[in-house]
Amino acid sequence: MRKAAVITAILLAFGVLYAVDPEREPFMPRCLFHWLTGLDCPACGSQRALHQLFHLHVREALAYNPFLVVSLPYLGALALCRWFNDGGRLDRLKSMCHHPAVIRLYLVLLIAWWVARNLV
Amino acid sequence: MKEYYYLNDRKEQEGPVAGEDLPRYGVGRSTLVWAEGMAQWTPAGNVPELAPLFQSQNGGTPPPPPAGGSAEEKPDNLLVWSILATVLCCLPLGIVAIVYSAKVDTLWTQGRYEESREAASKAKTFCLISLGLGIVSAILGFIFGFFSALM
Ligand SMILES: [Zn+2]
Repeated sequence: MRKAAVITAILLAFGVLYAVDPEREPFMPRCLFHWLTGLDCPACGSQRALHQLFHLHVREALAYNPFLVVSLPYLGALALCRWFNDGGRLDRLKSMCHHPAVIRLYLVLLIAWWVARNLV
Repeated sequence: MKEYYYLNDRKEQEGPVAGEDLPRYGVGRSTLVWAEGMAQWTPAGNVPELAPLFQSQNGGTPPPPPAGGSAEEKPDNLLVWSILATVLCCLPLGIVAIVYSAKVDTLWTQGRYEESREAASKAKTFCLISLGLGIVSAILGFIFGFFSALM
């Protein structure tokens, strides 16, 4: 029941992002961090990047937020073994994705990306 | 039950307290107690009326440890949510959530179950804060858009 609600909410959000270009519509969520500090957070541009991805514009998506594009496969794998691991079929994928070294690598990349985008 | 006097750790007389309340005052099986009608100070465990109160401390084999710890399931590390919060909610708070998520599994494999559970609940807290602020920014974004459309 809760699983269905969560999936519906995510699909709904994706639907809105597909239909609305955040670059042109002022009604889309703002980044509080960017608004407060003027700096980009690691996720700034991810809504616009998703919108471009849904329209299969990979290059534009990469321009808005390459880190998001890189994160999506990882996120997808995590979601798969979180919600669709019936009968333990995905246990190997799960232990790979949840390996401390993998998570640490992700964190390092995340912070490197955050610093780099504000320096350039 | 009768009222009892008992001797504390410094062998000072305390009480009287009702017999059934003795364990709450730190009286154990071997603590000396006395009540009206008793000839002398006696270990509480040897007083027939009090003995049942100390059944669980009767030496011998200790009861099995509570079925906690390893028998329980590993807490959910919420890694999906932490990363979702980071890349979508547009807030560096998600990073903290990821750090705690990563700790959950590591601590669990080290047998530090209590800390593992704490890390899981911290990860959850930061995810929820992130989500809350995400909703706030959605509302702010909407209001900004509304006013800029009016002007
Ligand atoms: Zn941002």
